[in-house]
Amino acid sequence: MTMTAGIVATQRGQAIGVLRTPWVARLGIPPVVFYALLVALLAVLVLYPFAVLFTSSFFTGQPGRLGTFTLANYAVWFGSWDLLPIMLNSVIYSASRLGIALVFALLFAWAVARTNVPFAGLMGWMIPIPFFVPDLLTAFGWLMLGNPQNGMINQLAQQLFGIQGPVINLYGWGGLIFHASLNSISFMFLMLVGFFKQMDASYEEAAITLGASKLKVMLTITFPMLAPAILSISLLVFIHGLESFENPLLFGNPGGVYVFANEIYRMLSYRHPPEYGAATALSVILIAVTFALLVLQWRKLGGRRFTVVTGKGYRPTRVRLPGALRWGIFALFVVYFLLAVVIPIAQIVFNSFFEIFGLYGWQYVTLKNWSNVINNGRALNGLKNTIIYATIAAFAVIVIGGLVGYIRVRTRHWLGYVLELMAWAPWTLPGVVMGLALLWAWALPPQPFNLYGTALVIIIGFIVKGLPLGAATMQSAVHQISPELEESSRVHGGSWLRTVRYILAPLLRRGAFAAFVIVFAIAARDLTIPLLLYRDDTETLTVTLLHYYETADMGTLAATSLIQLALVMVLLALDRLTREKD
Amino acid sequence: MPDIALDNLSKTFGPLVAVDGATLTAADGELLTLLGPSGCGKTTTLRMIAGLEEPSGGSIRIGERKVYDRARGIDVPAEMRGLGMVFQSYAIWPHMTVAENIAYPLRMRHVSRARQRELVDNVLDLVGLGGLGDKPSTLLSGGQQQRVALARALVFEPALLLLDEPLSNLDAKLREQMRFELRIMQKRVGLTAVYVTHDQEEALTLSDRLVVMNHGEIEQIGTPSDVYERPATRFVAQFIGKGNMIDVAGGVDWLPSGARLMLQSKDGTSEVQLPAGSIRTEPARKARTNGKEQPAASLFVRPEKITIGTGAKSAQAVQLAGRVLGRAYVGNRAEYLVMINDATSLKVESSTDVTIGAGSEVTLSIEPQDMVLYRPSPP
Repeated sequence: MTMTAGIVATQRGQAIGVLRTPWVARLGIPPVVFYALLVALLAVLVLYPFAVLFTSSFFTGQPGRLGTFTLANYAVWFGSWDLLPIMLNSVIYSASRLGIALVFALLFAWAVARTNVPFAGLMGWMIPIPFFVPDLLTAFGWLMLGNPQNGMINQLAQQLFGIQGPVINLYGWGGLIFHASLNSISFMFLMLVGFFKQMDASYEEAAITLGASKLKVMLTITFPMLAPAILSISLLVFIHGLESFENPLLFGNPGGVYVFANEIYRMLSYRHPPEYGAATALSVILIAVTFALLVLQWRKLGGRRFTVVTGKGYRPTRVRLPGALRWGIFALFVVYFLLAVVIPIAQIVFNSFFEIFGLYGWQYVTLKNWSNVINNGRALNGLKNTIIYATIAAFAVIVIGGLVGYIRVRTRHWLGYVLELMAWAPWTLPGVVMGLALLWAWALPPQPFNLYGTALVIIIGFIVKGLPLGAATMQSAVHQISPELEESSRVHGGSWLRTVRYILAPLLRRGAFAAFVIVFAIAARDLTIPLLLYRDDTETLTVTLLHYYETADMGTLAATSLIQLALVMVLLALDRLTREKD
Repeated sequence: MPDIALDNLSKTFGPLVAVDGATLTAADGELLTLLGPSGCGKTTTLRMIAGLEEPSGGSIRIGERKVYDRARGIDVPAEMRGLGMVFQSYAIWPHMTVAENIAYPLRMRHVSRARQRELVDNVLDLVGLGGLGDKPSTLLSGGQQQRVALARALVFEPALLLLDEPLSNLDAKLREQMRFELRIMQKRVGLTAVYVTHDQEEALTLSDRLVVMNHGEIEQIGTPSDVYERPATRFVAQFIGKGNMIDVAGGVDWLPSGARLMLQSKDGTSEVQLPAGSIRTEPARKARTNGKEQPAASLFVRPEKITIGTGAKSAQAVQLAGRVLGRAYVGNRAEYLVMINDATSLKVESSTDVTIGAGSEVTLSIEPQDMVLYRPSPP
C-alpha cells in the first residue's frame, strides 16, 4: 500500500488546509495484527490459568512446582464414595434454593408486572435491592442473629421467655438454604420481570376475546409462552448455586454441610499440608458439571443471553385481584424485604455499637469498634487495596471490553467471534476454581512472570471475573453508536486515532461508566479470588471481614461491614443517578 | 474542481457480487446520480469512492489523482481523499455543537481557529442556518440536521461531494423543497457531486446525468430525458416511471428495416411495424439470465402514450380492442387497466374529461414511435 502524504492540489479552487498521513498509518500495520495481539492477551488472562489447572490436576505437586504425573488426584474422588455426598449436597442445596426462589420470584414478578397489587412501582424498585447487597454482609447479620450459642434471637428468647437452649439455629442446612434463597429471589425477579413486562398483551387479549377466563389465560397462554425463559433462568440460578461459596462457607461449614465450593476450600485451607491435587481435580469436575449445564442453558435460551426490556410506555392490561390477595402479596413483599435486607443490616448496625458480642445493654454502648477500624489500619488497608485493585481492573476491562466489542460489532473479521467467546468464557465459572487456577498459573512461570503473592495476580483475577459483564456492557455501548458517526469523521479527514479520540471515546463515555460500576462492584464484593491469592499486604476488605468473623471480633466486623456496604451502595447510587439523567 | 472516473470497479462480499465492473465518469461540476433498487450496488459504489469500502478490483481516479488502483496497489485511506460526504443518517455528532460539527474537517486540516470561525459562519449562511452555530446539535430538527451535514461536507471546499440518500429521512414536503435547494447550492459552489438515491423522481429532477444500476451492474448512463424517453434495457424501462411490458411469445420477423410482429387483442390480431431505431438489443447479463428463461422479445409502451378511443393521430397507429377492468382516479388524470387478451392487461393513463366505466369495450391506439422492442443479445 502506498500512502501519499499531504493532499494533492485540486485543479481549480484549492481545498482548504493540509491533511497529514498519521504516523500509525505510515507504519502500515494491518489491523489483523492488533486483533491477534488482543486474542493473545485474552488467552493469557483467561485460557492459560485453566489450561494450567487442568494440567496440574494430573500432577502431584503444588503451586510453583508441578511434580510428577499421576492419576491419584482423580482416584481420590472416583475411587471412593467421597464424591457422592458432595454431589448430592450440591444438588440438594442448589435445587432447594432454586425451588424457593422460583415460587416467590414468579409470584412477585407476575404481581408487579401484571396485577393491580398495591405499590407495584415501589415493589419493582425494591425487590432487586437484596441482589445488590453483598451476600457476605447479610450472612454476617443473620449469623449474629441466629447462631445457636449467643445469637440475638436466642438470647432474647432466653431473657424474655426463659427458654433454655436455642430456638433458632442457622448453622447447617436450614440457614444455608434460607439465606441463599433470599438473594436468589431477588436475582430471579430481576431476570423475570422484564419478560413479564415485555410480553405482548395482545396474545392474552386474543385468548380473552375467544372466551378464556383470566385463570385459563394465565395457565394456557402467559406461563407457557414464558416457559423457555423461566427454564433458562432457572438453569442459570442452579449453576449459581453450584458455584456459590460464601453461603456454604459461613452456614455450611459449622453445620458440617459440604458442597463443591467449600469442600475445595477446605482441602486447601483446613488440611495440613493442603491437598492441592485433590482440590484441583475436584475443581476440574466442577467445571465440567457447570459447563454441561451452561451448554444446556444456552440451548434453551437459543443464543440470547440478555433480557432486553423494550416496553416503551406500553401498559399491558392488569389482572384485578381481590383485596385480600392484593394485600397478602404486598405483606409477603414486606416480610421478604425485612428478612433480606432490613433485619440483617439493622443487626450489623446495632452490633457495630457494642464491644462484646452477646452483651447488650446501655452500659456497653461504645464507639470503640469504629475507632478500632480507623486506628488499627487493617480495615482501612483492606479498603484501600479493594479500591485500588477494583479500579485498575475496571479500567482494564473497559479497554479490553471496548476493543473486543468494537472488533466484534464493527468488523466482519472472524477473530471478533473468537474474542467475544473468550471474554464470555469466565461467565459462571466458580470463584474458588478461578482463584485456584490463578494460583497455579501464576506461581508456575519463572521470574519476572511469577506473580505469586503479588497484587497483580488479584487484579488479574478481578479482570477475569469482571470481563464477561464488562465486555458485554461495552459491546452494547459500541452497538448503540451508528457506524456513520465514525465514517463521517474518517471521510472528513480524521485518521483512525483521531476518530477514536474525538468521536468514539466521548460517545462511549457513558457506557464505559456503566461498565466501570459493574466491574468495580463485582470486584469489591468478591471474596473467593483474593482469599486464595492474598498475602498480608495485599489483603482486600472482604478477606479482612472474613478474618474478623473467624476471630469472632464481631464489633469490628460489624463496623467494617458497614464500610463495605457503603462502598457498594455509593457506587450503585452513582450508577442510578447517571442512568436517570438520560 | 476535479472530475471523477471509475474504471471497472468491483466489489464482492464472499460469493455475492455487489458491484460488477462499474465504469463511469462524472465531469467537472456535474451532478451524477446513482439510481437503483436497494441492493443494486449504488451505495457500495459510493462507499468505495469515499474509501469506506475496499474494492475487489478496478480503479478510482479523482481529478489527477488515483485514489485506488488494485493493479498498482494504490489505496488512499478515506481520511486522505479529501472528500465531503453527506450520510443517510446525517451522522451529526451528538456531543458537539453545530459549529463544532461543521468545523471538524477544518480542525483535521490544521486550519487556524480564527479562519475556522470565518469559514463556518460563511457556510452556515450558505445553508440558511446563520446564527445557529452555538446550538447543541441534538436540538436540531431533521431538516436542520440535513443542512448541518451538508455544511460540514462543504466547508473545506472538498474535491468531490458524495451524498448517500441525503433526503430519504425527511418528510415528503421538506424533501421536495430540499431537492431544489440542494441543486441550487451544488451549482453555486460548482462542486462535482455523486448522489445516491432509490427515488427516481429525485434522480430525474436533480441530476445532470444518472446511472441506473441493478444487481451490481450498470444498466444505463444518460441524462434524465435519455433515460426516461429511451430506456436502454427492460429493467430501466420498468424501473423509471410507469410502463407496460408485453412479452411477445413468438413470431417476430427481424427485418433489416426493423421488425414486424403480431399482437393478439380481443377481436383478432393487429400487426405492429417497428423501425430499426425502436429496437434495443440488451447486453448479456450474468446476474439475471441464470435460471430464469428470458422471453424472445418484449414490447414496451408507457401508459400516457396509449390513447383510449379510435382517435389515432397517424395511419400507422396500432389499434387494439379491449375491455376496461378497472379505473382509478388520481387527481389530475385517470388510470385504467384494460385487458386486451387473456394474458395481457395494459395500464393506460388519460385525462379525466371522459369517464369510462369498468366493463366497457374500448379501442386503444398506440403510435409506433412510442413503442420500444427489447431483444436479448444473441447467445
